[in-house]
Amino acid sequence: MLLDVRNLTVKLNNDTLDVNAIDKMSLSMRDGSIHGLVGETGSGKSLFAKALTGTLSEKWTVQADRMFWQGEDLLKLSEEKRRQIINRDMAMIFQEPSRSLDPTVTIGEQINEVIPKSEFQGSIWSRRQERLQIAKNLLIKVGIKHYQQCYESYPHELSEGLCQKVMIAMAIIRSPKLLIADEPTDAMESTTKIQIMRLLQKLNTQKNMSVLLITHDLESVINYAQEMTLLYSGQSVESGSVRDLLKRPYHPYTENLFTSIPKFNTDTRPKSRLQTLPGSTPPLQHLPIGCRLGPRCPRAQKECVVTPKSVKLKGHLFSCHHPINLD
Amino acid sequence: MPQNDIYNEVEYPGPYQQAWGKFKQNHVSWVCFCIVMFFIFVAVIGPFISPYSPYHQDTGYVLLPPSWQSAGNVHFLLGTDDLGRDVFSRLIHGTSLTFGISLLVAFGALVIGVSLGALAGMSKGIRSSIFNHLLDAILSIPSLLLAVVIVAILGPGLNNTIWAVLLVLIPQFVHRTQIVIRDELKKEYITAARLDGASEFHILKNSIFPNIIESIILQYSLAVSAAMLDIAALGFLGLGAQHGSPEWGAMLSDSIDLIYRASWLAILPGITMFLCLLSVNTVGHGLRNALKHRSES
Amino acid sequence: MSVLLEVNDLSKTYNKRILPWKVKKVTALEKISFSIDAYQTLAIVGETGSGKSTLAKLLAGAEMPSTGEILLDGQALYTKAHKERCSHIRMIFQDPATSLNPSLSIGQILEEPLKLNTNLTAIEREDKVKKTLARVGLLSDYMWHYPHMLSSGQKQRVALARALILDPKIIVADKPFAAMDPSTRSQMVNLLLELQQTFGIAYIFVSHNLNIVKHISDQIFVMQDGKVVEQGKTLDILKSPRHTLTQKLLYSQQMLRKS
Repeated sequence: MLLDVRNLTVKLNNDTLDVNAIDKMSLSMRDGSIHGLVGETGSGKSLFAKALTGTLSEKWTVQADRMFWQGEDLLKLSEEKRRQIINRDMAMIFQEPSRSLDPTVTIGEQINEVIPKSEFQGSIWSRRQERLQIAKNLLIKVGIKHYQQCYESYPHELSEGLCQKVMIAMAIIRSPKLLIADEPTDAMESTTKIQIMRLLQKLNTQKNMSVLLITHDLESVINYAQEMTLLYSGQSVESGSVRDLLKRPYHPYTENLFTSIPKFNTDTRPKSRLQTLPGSTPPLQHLPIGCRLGPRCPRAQKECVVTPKSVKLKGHLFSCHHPINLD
Repeated sequence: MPQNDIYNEVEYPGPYQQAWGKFKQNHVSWVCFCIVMFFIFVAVIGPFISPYSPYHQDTGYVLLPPSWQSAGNVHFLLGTDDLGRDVFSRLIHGTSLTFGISLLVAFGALVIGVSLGALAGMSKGIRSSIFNHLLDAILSIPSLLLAVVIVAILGPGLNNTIWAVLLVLIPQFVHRTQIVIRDELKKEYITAARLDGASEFHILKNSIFPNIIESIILQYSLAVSAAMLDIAALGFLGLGAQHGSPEWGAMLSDSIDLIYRASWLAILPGITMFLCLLSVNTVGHGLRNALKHRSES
Repeated sequence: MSVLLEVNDLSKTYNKRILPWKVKKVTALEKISFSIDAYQTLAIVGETGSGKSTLAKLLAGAEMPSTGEILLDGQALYTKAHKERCSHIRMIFQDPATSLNPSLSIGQILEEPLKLNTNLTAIEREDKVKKTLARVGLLSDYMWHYPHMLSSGQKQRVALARALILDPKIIVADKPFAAMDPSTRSQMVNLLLELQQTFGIAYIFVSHNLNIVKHISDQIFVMQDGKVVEQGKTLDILKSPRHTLTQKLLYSQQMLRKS
């Protein structure tokens, strides 16, 4: 097991507000897999990534039964030790890559800056040559053909897709074990999107790098991930292998999400009503008690005011009092 | 239908109420706001309540120290100057001269500058580019220097100072307004309003002004402090308010020779001015921050 | 049924000044002609810079066309005759967060087009605002809210309400679903389809999500570099795409097995 998080709670302490933005969420990842973390805006999926890498600001408190990274509990380690592990093993890419790059510095220099010292083998005099070589290899690795041109250009001269590739190149420099991709293809053209997703998939299979794919785009998760975890308002809904979930979702929310996509292959009649849940996701100030899906859930009953325990059944982990498809 | 209005009793604070609430939460700005209000109050009714006329010379009490010193006299609360004039009364009158005039001058500059800036911001092409470059040229000269030049042309005196400061402040307002309007015009809700069939004036009034008010307020607070400094500086240099006038800068310059014998004559106007400038700036920043965050709950 | 909207030879070229004395013409949209009926939906797909947003803006009147004319019910529309146009053709923008004025309340935002385009009294206007809010599935209390108090889904509903409030015949939407979560998106799609069936509104969508396009549109335009490279019935085109761009787009969204 690469990552095993149990009952993670992230609490927001504000003078006006005191809520669990993430409420007892669990997630476990196998070594070398692509794991999709799916949720709508405000479901706390980016928060999870921040809690994992320890980059939350002081107004958040993180608690968990355990947060195991390759058998080590990250929360019990000292700050420094934890940072070391995270530096060594994890890397992160974000949405809108052109904003994460420094606009005043060329791509080449930015890549040079993140090359760790341990990568160099030769003497100090051949550093320049070596740097160039390493940077170029990286750019080739992420599938940029005109690497020389890319090396010399500034971020604004590159397309969004290329920028994201550069970000990925910079992320994989230390060959991390886990790449956290926070909505890497949000607001991108579908043709660019597929290139990025392919690249992530390639890195996953060739270098055995695990990818935690955080997104609201269910389609790409279905296409590229092996396992997924669904979040709703900070509570984990259901997790398991993508194929199983697709075939037989236990949680009403999961089923609803799948049916809400008018997929090309299924025979939803054009212009027919799509199936959705009524209402909208609650804001942080007005979270319902118990199962947070409660007010919108078609199967909600009296018990739903108590937070459901997660149940493991046939490889799925789900939390619902009245699951479907059980028979 | 009665149930239609069931929630209407819940009050929804508008953006301005919210901004006000936010402003009050910040204690420093709130205290400074009270100080500014006090100064404005003094500036308006001060001349009527001051114990003596600022020009009244009491030859029997020359260079009296403030009343808390043993040599002081309680009738002259903050002492008297070398001609026996009451410092307290002069400071009160000075408030309406330096601070009151600054407020008015900055406001005049605001009205003229913002309307010119709106014109420039809404116009396109060569007209706006001429405007822009002209303003850039004017703005590159320090405001005090420009004021000195203008006073040198018009001749010294408080009236001419006022005109000079007004002329100096206008370009800053024009420039700021123009920039923020430019930024605002790029936003989608302006296009949306245009598609609603709104005229340019309508867009300016309903869509742009409510959103740029915070920059104008900040600019106003900066302008007020700049105006105060300029008026006082010109008074100090003897180019603005003339010797003997209770204007703070002129008072400072009058008392500079006596600084070893009667330090309170220089210190008191200095402290007043410092306090005034500080609170004006703090209030400006506080208001701007509050207004800026009004649309982020 | 007569044709609702007819577009003849519409095109747009920009003058780009490279040097002060040298002007280069950039064609954003080459001549295009099409027509659309009530109850119909036209979808425009293509990559960035293909001119699809330009077309949407031209139709909505946000920009002036270089050549060509737009006929509404057989009558020519000129961009200058704003009144007529803006009550019949309305536009929804991509990001509701920036298309709603942050310092006006929802009620004021919705009232604005009424004030400008109709002679209704204040009471009638308020009534209309409430009715329109109900139509897009929002409570009338939202009148007193300000945009920052709403979620993005609700904001998009408000944007739709602003489009609907003048009872338009055509709604032009520029990537309305791009920034939406799947479930909000489905709600929005349902709402749009419902409105179309009740009021006979014609939609012109700019989108890059072919799944949605397939679900809601009757006709489809595939655009590349300011040209329409493929057009026709949505189902036909998605079933047997001819142009390589269409194939590429379909393939990139896993809607076509690679042959």
